[in-house]
Amino acid sequence: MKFYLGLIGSIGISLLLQVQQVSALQVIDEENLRYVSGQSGVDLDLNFKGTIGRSFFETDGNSLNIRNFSIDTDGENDDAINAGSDRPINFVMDLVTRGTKSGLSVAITNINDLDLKFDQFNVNGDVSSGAVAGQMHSFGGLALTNINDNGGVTDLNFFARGANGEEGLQIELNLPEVVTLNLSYTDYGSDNASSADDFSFGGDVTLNNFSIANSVDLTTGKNSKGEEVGGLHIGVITQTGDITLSNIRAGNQAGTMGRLVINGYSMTPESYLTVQGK
Amino acid sequence: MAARALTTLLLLPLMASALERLDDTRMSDVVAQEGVILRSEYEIKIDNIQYFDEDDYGTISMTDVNIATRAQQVIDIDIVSGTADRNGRNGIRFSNQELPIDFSVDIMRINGKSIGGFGMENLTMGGVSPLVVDLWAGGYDLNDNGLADESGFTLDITIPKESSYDLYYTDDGTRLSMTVDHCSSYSGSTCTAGGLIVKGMTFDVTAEGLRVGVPQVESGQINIRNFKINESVINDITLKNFTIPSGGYITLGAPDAAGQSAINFDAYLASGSGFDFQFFDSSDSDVQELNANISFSALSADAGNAATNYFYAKDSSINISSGDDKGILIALGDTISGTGGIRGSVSAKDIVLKPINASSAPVLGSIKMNLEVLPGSYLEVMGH
Repeated sequence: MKFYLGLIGSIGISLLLQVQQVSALQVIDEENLRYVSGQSGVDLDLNFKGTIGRSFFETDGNSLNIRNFSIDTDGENDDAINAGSDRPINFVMDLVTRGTKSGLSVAITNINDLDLKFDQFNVNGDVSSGAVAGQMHSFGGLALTNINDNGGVTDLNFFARGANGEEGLQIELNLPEVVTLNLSYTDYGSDNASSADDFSFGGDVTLNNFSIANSVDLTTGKNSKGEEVGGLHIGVITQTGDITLSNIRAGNQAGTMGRLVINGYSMTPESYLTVQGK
Repeated sequence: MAARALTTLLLLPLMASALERLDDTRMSDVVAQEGVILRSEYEIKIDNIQYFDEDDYGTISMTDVNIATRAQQVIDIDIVSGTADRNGRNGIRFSNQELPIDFSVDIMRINGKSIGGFGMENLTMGGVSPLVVDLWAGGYDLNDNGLADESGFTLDITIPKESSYDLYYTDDGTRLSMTVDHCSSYSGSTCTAGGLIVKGMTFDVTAEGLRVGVPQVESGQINIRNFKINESVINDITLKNFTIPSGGYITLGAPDAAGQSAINFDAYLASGSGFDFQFFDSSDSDVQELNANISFSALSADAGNAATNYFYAKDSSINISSGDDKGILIALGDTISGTGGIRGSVSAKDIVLKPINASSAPVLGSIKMNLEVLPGSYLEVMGH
């Protein structure tokens, strides 16, 4: 089994990082440093516009390819070259201790118009660099655009699970009260030179009070049948939130297919997913 | 890049803590076979799922939705190149010998009025042959060149003969339930034949909306056993020898005008689609069965044209009207343009009533209905 992440044929990458403060890192006994003033840590402003030409997962010579995964931290101001025209995403990073666990806390703000676009998913299809050459063996493309934190704070924590001899990671993601984005799946026609035969399905997504905490560990062991059940083990600690998909549209119609609201989603603690090789 | 390196350095101790060293003994278990196995157990709870009609604000809601595994679910994932019928196609294969999932909806409501609850229990694949789901890249061959040169999805599903599940619907404490399986022949308690293969279910987005290809089905069997209301048994039903040619499709789209909300749909079933229907009583001494071959075809006036050689519903729509006495309004045809509706022929051929073990019996006759349901016809479903 192979997994490659190739940085091939990028259309244009501009990375403007301003390390505003790099001081000695220090462990503090606080749940989250963003609530504490006057402590040391690292602030980052990230303004990024770039493309990963091809990422792929391969088994037995067959590959699942992601073509042209592009990230633009401010899609509205489409010019990352001239510093100052784009609004950077702000990161506040600290090493923290919570109870018996220590780790890295990242508070993310000013997500104004983040765009994440996948030009094409294919199996044994186009593996060229640069622009997608054709739609052979293509599932289509996916775009999450205009991702906006609406002035809130995204907390991302990576904790070492070091207590009581445990090892592994605990990853927590607490999204702001309201996160909005546009979701679009594009089904491409055979004419790669024209978009006239390309059509999209999607809508406006709102995530409310979404919170995820997972444990990540490498495990071993066999079940009662003698099968190996270990592997990369992702355990659910909490997973809750509300999801709304509104203005559902498909094709060229100007109207909508309605609105779908999911309230009170949760995945029970102790749920898990283990990824194994064969 | 300096910042990226710094971030990586900060993460390295955390990542290292998650790694365990494989010893030599364990390394010897590693073989060259490639692919991924996913093992999972989970319980998903959703307080409420609501669908809103955005211009009339009628709602359908499902309260206390629960999806949970009863045991560990194991799914093999491979990236595959097609052979035989799928030669030239590439996709992702999901296979598993067990799918121990239960699903329940406590209450479903239309505009706040309950229509009852429903769910699925005891889903099993039987643990002998796997359920295989192939997800092929590329959908409907719009340009008809035999190549997967347009994006989209195509699903092929092979349901094993040992699979079964229980379905139920509850209304104020009364429970309608059934067991569904796909076995056509037994040796003792062991299923020796059956199953269902569903091929070529395509998913595309077109100018008109979502286009879902009706899958091709050849033979296969669906048995509805233990069909009962509380403990009062209704006779069993078997649908078998399916013949659903390729070419049928359903289109789901939005209205043309801005500000309007609805699910517009066209549904085309390839002419000649059908199955054998058996309704039988095996629970007491009066063991009888009613057999017929059910088929759907185009009206003779439409059969000569490839574009209309279907049993079809056209220019139809689904709206959720708000109001105390309103509900899901399924309109057949477009009343404004006066187009669409349902057109086609339904037949029940060679109707036979006989003892179950009898090899033959006199044919009672056949029934054929030529349908032309005109625009303005509708069905409205409400709760109470």
